[in-house]
This record gives sequence, C-alpha cells and structure tokens, in this order.
Amino acid sequence: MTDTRTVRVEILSRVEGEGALHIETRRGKLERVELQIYEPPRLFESLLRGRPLEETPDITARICGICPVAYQMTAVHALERALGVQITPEIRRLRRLLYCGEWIESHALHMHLLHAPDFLGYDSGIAMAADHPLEVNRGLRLKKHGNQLLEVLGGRAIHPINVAVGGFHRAPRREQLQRLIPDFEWGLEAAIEATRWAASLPIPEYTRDYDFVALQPGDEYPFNEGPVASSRGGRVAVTEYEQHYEEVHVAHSTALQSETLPGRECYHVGPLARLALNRDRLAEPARRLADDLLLESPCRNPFRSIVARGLELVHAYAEALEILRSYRNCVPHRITYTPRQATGCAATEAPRGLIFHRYTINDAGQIEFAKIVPPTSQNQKQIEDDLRDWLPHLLDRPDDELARKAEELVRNYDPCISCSTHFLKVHRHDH
Amino acid sequence: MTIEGPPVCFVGIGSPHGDDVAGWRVAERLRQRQLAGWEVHSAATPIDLLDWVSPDRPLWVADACRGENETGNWQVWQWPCERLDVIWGGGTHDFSLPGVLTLAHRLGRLPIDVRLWGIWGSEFAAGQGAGDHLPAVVDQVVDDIVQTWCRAGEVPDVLPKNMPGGGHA
Repeated sequence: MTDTRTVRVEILSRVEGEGALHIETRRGKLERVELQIYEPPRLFESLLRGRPLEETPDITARICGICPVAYQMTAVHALERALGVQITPEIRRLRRLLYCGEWIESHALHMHLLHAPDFLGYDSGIAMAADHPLEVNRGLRLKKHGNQLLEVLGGRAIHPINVAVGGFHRAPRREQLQRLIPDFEWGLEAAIEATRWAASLPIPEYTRDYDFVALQPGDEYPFNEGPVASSRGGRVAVTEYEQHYEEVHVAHSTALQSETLPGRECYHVGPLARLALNRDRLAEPARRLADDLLLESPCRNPFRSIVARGLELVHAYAEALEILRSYRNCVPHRITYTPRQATGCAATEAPRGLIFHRYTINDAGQIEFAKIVPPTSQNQKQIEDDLRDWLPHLLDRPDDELARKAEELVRNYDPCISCSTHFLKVHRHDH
Repeated sequence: MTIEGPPVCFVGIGSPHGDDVAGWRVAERLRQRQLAGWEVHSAATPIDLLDWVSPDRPLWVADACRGENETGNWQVWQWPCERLDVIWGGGTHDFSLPGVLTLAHRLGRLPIDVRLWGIWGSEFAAGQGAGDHLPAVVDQVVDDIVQTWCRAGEVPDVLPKNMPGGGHA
C-alpha cells in the first residue's frame, strides 16, 4: 500500500467556466488542496485602455453572460464618481430594479438546477428534473422573470445595452413595467415557496468562523453602493477598499486571489456575507421568512447558502414589485457630463458577491487605467481554506466520493470561473 | 407555389467573442426577413432557450461550434443525435445545448421538430472579431433555414449535402 494519494477533479461541474481541483494526501493526512483555474485570463482591463469611457458599460458586460449587469453597473458607478455625476432618485431606482432582475435570474437558476441536486443526490439538474419536475419548472419560470426584467430595462436580456454613464439611453415606459406585475406577484409567492423547500433539504451540518465582507448601506439591502463592512468589525469607504483587500498571483491559477491586508487572510463574499451583515435590511417578506425558518444569525454554514439565496430571491421580488408598482417615469433618463482627467472607483453586489472596479480617465474621455476585482477571485482563497478544513473528515471515502464532496463544497459559492479569469477539475495525489 | 411550414421558435445562441457571434448574426438576419408567425430570439446561454420553447411549435437553433479544420463550414442536425454531445459538450454551468434539450424533453416541453444549425469557427477569445468567413456562412445558413421552412413537410436533411460527416463548404 502506498502512503500517498492524489485525487483530481479534472473539470468541476455545475459551475460557470473551467477549473480543476487538486487534492494531495500523505500518510492519510491532507497535504495540498488547490482550486486550479486554468481558463485563460481574458484581460478585459487591457481591452478597455484607450477606449472611450462611453464604451465601458458594453465592454464590461461582455465579461460574463450570467451577471453582465453587475459588471456594467459597477463600471458606470465608478466612472460617475470620477466625473462627479449625480444621478436622480428615479435613475437610481431603475438601477436597483435592474439588479433585482439579475439576482432573480442567477439565484433561481443556482438554487433549483445547480445546488439542489447536491442535497437530493442527483448528478445534475437534468437528472433531477425527471423526479422533481414541479421544482425545476418553478426555477425556470422564476429565471425567466429575471430575463424579462433585464430585457425591458437593459434593452435586451443578453448583454444589456441600455445602461449608460449618467443613467439610461432610454427610460422604460410605465406600461412596459406594469405588464410585469402579475408575473412578479406570482414570483414573490413562488420564491417564498422555493426558499421553504430549500430550507427543508438535507443540508450538511458544517460551520466555519468566516470573515464575511459585503456592502452595508444605511437603510436598504445592498445592491449598488455602501461602505464595505466586515463581520470581524469595521467599515471602510469604497475608496479605501484597496488599502484593506489585495489581489495576489498564485502559481496554480490564472485568476488572481484576494486576501485581507495586512493579515493576508481569506474572506467570504456573497449571499451569506450579505445576509450576515444586512439581515435587518431585507424587505419585510424576506425578513419575516428568515425568522420563520429559524435561520441562525449569522448563518455560518456554507451549504445553507442555498437558503440565503432564497431569501435574497424573495427580497429581489419584493423590491422589484415595489418599484414596478410605483414607477411613473424617469425624466431626465440621463445626466450629462464633461469628460475630465480623474479617477473613480465603486463596489456593488453581484449575485455571487462584492465586485470592485477602479478607472482612470483622461481629458478626452478615454480609459487610461482599469482594475476589475470579481467576486469569485475574492472567494477563491476562502474556498481552498474551506476544503482544507472539511476534507480531512472525509479522507476515508473512496476517490470518487471524495471528489464529489469537494465539488459540492465548491458549488456553495456558485463560482463564476469565466469572471474570475476575466475559473474547476479535482486532482488528488497521495504520497 | 411556396408552401410554408408552421411558425418556428428560432433561437440564435452566441456571445460577442470572435466566431461565437454566429448564432446571434443568424438571428439578426432572420428578424430582418420577418417570417410570418416566427419568434426569433438571441440567447447568451443554451438554457435561455427554455424561456421560449414550447411543444407546439418547431424549435430551430443556430450556434457556433469549435473546429479548426472546419472553420467556414456549417452543418445541420435533427435532435436527438448522439454526435451533438461531442460538438456541444460544454456550456455555461454544464448546461450544454444537448443537455438543455434533454432537460426540455424531460419536462415535456420539447417539440418533435428540433433542428440545430452548427457553424464551425476557430476564434472564440474575448476582444477578437469574427472571422472574415462568417458573413457568407451566415447568409448560407439563413437561406437554408428559410428553404427548410418553405419545404416544411419534407423529411429534413439530417446529413450533409456537400461534405462527408455533414456540412456545407
């Protein structure tokens, strides 16, 4: 018998993009765990240099087919800060509505078709559909609502083109939004039902003492602004983000990994982090549901992120309905500005967690410098840390089961590898 | 006399990256043709077609597929077909095009007539433009789709017209 063992998951399944997982043990003890992101870096920051700032929303939306809104909206907010643009309350509400659409689309898909199969013992959402058609159809219908909202506000569901620095190229008509209300009223009830279903799934008992990091605005659930808060204490302005969090290269990944400064520790972004830091800011139906479900506060079980996503799904429907019902018009729909040499940064909340952008522009209105920090690269070190903590309890399992358990842990984070490389396969070595 | 088939739900799948834009280009051209009763959609991921698929109307799809040696060619298949898993095995969140069609079938939402036009390309990186070959291939695919519709009722060509293994040069 050899005293070394290697398990590789060559391609992580049910995640966006391509990455691998390498697990190495020696004499029955875990020696190395690497989340290997080998998808080539896509270098969007370089693509942006020299381009007119007006093109930034469209180019950044192309980073991800799943969460284009978060990319383009973070870019827009950062550029507006550089230019000193003050948007109107109406533009701001429409932007929050756009975020609701993206969260609904992303969370509904992940809960029903990507995450739930892990708890019900299926290899895929496709396999689950044969036995759970009602749940799968519900998830698909909710997802469709998100796309419908993106289409009305973004001009189209794929890579929305209506978002502009200063506002929107065109404001939606009231009747366009009002037509969505009956579907969203059904969706709110279905989202509550989906969250109760998620909470009833056989979720593993496992907790960690996370450093949760999320935006924490004054009086609303975080989408598009707010200081950056940590569950370990402290809130910093977004302009100070880079003094507290830094991206570093690691040899086994084409994506950068983020860590805290000065401690160089991992941290956790995403639904669990947002909920830990903002539970009292949830819309009333979501807050009441969290209490009904006796969800601990903060919830430190990464597998229960499916419940956190459900609560955020409920929140997104509730907030969307409030905006849809009250919308009259948006005049003006876009604030004008004069290009100037300046630097601006912003952080918003993508479905997978906090996203940070910083841009420098010149007097001609061209991008001179761009920095984009996506949520998955911020979670990458945390995922490896979770695996190092969890896998030692599972080393007596056969390779295929160990690989499956490792993948399940990774999927708690709904990683978007394509975003992080602007990311999985498990490799296990026993020495 | 031209005999047209039933209104089709058409979905062009693509992305802005290189030759991957092919499905979107086909959708754009079909919209311009204003074919009676057609629904023409563009999708960024295969799973989005579940937003529109219905068992009571044909589902026709165009998507780019990767193949260095076949760039500039196109091919048409009818679902189910085992080869599709080889051609379109990957996809966002593992929802490959064949996987999504299987899911739709299991949910009872797939029509009998499901056809896939695959457009071969080689450049799919961010920031790249589409290959020079693409406009002509898109024209051929659009013409073939319309002709197929006009020939509705005939048994579709599942296999190649010009190339062994399926495809058009």
